[in-house]
Amino acid sequence: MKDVSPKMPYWSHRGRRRHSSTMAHRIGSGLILPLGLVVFAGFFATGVLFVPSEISGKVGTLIAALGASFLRLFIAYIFALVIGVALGLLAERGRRVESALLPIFDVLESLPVLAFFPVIIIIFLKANFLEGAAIFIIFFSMVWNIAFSVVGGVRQTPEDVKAVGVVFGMTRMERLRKVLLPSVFPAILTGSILAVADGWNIVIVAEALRAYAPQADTAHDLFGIGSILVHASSTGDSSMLVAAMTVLVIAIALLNIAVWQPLLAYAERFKFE
Amino acid sequence: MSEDTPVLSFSDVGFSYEPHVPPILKNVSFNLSPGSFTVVVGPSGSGKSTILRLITGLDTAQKGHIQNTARTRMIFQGGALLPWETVLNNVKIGFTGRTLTEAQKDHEARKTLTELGIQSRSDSYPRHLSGGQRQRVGIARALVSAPELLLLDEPFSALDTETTKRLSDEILRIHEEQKITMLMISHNIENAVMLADRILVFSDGCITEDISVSLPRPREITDPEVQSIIKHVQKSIPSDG
Repeated sequence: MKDVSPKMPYWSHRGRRRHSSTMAHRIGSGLILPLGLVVFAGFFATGVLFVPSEISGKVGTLIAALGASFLRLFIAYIFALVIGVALGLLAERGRRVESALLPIFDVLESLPVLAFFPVIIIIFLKANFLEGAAIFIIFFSMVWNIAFSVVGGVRQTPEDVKAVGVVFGMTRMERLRKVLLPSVFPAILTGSILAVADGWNIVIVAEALRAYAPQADTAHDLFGIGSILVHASSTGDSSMLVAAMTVLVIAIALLNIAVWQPLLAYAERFKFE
Repeated sequence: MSEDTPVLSFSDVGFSYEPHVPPILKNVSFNLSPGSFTVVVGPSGSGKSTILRLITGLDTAQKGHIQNTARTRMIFQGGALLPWETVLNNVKIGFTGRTLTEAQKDHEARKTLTELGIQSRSDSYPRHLSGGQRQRVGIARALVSAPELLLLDEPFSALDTETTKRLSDEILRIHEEQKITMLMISHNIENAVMLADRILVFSDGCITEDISVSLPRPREITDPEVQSIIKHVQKSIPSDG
């Protein structure tokens, strides 16, 4: 019998092949539209149509700031990914563990992270480790998205598939690596997208530390796109605000197009029918 | 293993999923002799599938004793294939614990797929297979591990009549050629009578009847003796409703 099943490239959604109109659609909806909105809003707020000439010299600074923020976000995400997946898998180890852990996760997730941000900053300020405060707060806003997604992913994995590892004599590590982690991969991805979106929200405040700690001043702000936005906003520097927002939107859109969309397409093969 | 030594033995086995609810299995005792084909039938919720969970170690009996000396593998409802792995890699899961080189595994897996008539789908993913093909991959995965006891959990429940007939013949061929002891859970009484040499009727967590089917194979559904056994089994099973 000849295999006539369509060979799907990893980037295609359920057989939808990559072609120019799909790419144009993605770039259109993912990059041009949000960017247009920023330019449009910026025009009304400042009367400036695009990045003004006095900012053009600072583009390098903005990109470096974006890089610093992205690095913070990335480190926090790696911690959130490892701990979130571990917590999610732990919560689904049995009914007793689940009934003990899930209420705790619920409470921790509901805590407004900014409410105890000052305490965290003071603790890290004493240790003179402000980067740690920012990364911790970003991590804390991210981890629950991943943990709850993994809990949902484990629940959606068919019992028979979970049983395959046991019946065929796999070790615990083999079951985790070959069965459980791949089966929750789409859930990890969904949780990661939500987590990183929350991270971008928090990174803006996490870098402007002076606003949250009594002993801190502008010198304690961390270099990043968030602190530039807060500074531009508080000093009324509208052109810098628009430029920083533009850089941020481009970065988020590129992340979506270059990372999340291909991963979402790839995750299709891990889904159960 | 001697002819008389049972492959599997259940002695007064009791099991409950929750501490304060009535047990799903009550004092269940039976033996499986080597090379036998036993089918367990009974209404939904009678505890049929729990037997397989206890044999495979997915659950542990709270009462009684289970002795299983055989290398045991299972064919699941719907195949239970890993959707992210190709057919070939799904079959190779059956080699877990066996010390073979990748080339040997590849060769053995392809040989088994050829025997089951699905070698051309080796590089396909499960989502591109029909229900019958998925089930054949599930069978291949179990066979490559050289099982001594093969458990079949309602393997035909999601298949049409024609595919069920073809797959039943395939399972019967494997049983007769390889002399593997088989224990199948089934809702389909006709199918049970066509395949089994012993039928255990389950009801309310107990074995209510142990029926021996000594008719020669292959059996014809129109055979009056087959029909008589089907009617007997039907009478002994309380309705689901």
